[in-house]
Formats: sequence, structure tokens, C-alpha cells
Amino acid sequence: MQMNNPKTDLRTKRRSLRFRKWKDKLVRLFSIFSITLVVGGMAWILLTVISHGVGVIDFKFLTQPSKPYGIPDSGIANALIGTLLITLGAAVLSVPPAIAGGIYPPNSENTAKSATSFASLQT
Amino acid sequence: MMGIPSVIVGLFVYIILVVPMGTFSGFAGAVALAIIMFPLVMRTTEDMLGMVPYTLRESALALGMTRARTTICIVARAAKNGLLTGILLGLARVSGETAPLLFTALFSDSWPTEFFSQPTANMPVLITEYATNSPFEEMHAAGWGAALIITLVVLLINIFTRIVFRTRHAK
Repeated sequence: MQMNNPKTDLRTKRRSLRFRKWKDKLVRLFSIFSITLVVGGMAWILLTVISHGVGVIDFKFLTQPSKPYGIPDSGIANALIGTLLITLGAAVLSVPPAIAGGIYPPNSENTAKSATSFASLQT
Repeated sequence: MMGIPSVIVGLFVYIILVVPMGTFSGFAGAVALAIIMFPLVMRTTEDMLGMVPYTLRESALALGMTRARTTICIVARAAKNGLLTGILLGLARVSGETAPLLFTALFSDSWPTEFFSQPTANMPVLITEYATNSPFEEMHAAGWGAALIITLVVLLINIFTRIVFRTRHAK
């Protein structure tokens, strides 16, 4: 008796094979479209940066510090070294406590666990 | 870093470091980036240590090692590559941050000799400045060059960590 109920009877829900194949194609097309969107977008960014930047880079560009406009032989060496210093400084400051904090929770009680899960909200 | 936007981190460090010290400095920039990097590295450390089988831990304890020695000599060593991956990916993630550096390290045309007391030149701010605040075509071009360099560096770090991590896993 309950089998005749259209809500529970699986047989009444069967679609035709053609419809299901069509649906499969639609979903596949959509995933291919999404993947090309993501990969293509990244490739586009990379290509833009490369095409604009590749002509500028030479030895002087990499070894001279930046200079105010109008003075020749301007470069980015000071910015490169500055970024290196700042990033390494950030690593020196953050890595030891971060590793220590990451080691602590698996062996420890609930307060520590909730503290680290609060910190990991920020990742 | 979705919890605290990086601009806010920059603002925070500006208030607690730059204003009392009375000067922009590379050190303040490092502190801001460290704040952003900290939860990233901590999270990967936690995950990587969690992947070490618990039986390994128990074996070490059963042999009479203290908990500290077990963690440092056995668990951390087993997860060493994972920890390095976490650190490198954190660095790659953080090296492109611009907003916090605008508040802290700022920029200068000189070599970064006074790391603790002078504005320090850095790539992201150089790109921003050259691309938006300069009317000169030459500086736009230099900005693109800097953008390419930093893109390549971050890409290389990412590829490097991926290769190292994969080969160690296959062994």
C-alpha cells in the first residue's frame, strides 16, 4: 500500500535514459567551464605580469637601488634586500612560538585546545 | 588570514610600535608580518604533528623517554618536512602582503641599513607606489619588473616546497 505512495515509491521517480545522459553532459560542461575559468584566470595574470615585466629586468635593475625619477640606472635592489630582511625578521619572530603552540595542544587539556582553535580561526 | 584583515594588523602595529618609536621601521614591518604568519605556521604544525602515528609516540614513551624528549626527538623529527613546508608556505604567503607594510615599513630610496629606526624599502610597497602614485611611464615599467620578480620568487618557493614534500612522501 505504501509502495504506491508517489513520495516513497522509487519507481515513479525514474527519468528516461536520454534525460540522464543529457544531465550528465550539462554537469560535465559546467565543470570544464569552471576549471578553464580558474586556470585561465591564473594563466592570464601570469602572462600579463610576464609580458609587462620581462623587458625591464636586466643586471642594473637587479643590482641598483631605487632612485627618484630622472636619475638613470634606477633599480630595485634595496627593495629586494628590504623585503628579504622584513620577511626573515617575521620568520624569526613567529616561527619559534608558532611551532611551540602547534606542539602543545595534542598532548594537553581543554583550555589549551580551545586557545589554539581560537588562534586558528585566523588562518 | 581571514579572521583579522591584514590592514587591521598594520594599523595595530602602527599604534603599538610606530607611534611610540616615532619612526617607521623595517622591524615594525617584520612584527606585522609575524602576526599574520603566526596562526598559519601554528595551524600547519598542529596538523603535521597530528599526522604522526600515535603508536610512534607510545613506543618512545614505553622505552622510557620523557614527554619532552619524545616530542622533540621523535615526533618533531618525523614531521620535520611538514614543519618546513608550513614555514616556507607561510613565508610565501606573507611576502606579498602590502597593506601592513604601508603602515609600518613604508618605503625609502636608500639601502636598508637602519632596520630598526628608518623606513625600509620593500617590494610590495614599491610596486604600489610606482603603479599608482607616479605619473612617469618609466616608473610604471619598473613596477611591472618588480611585480614579475616577486611573482617568480613566490612561485618558486611554492614549487620547491611541493617537490620536496612529494619526494619525501614517496620514499
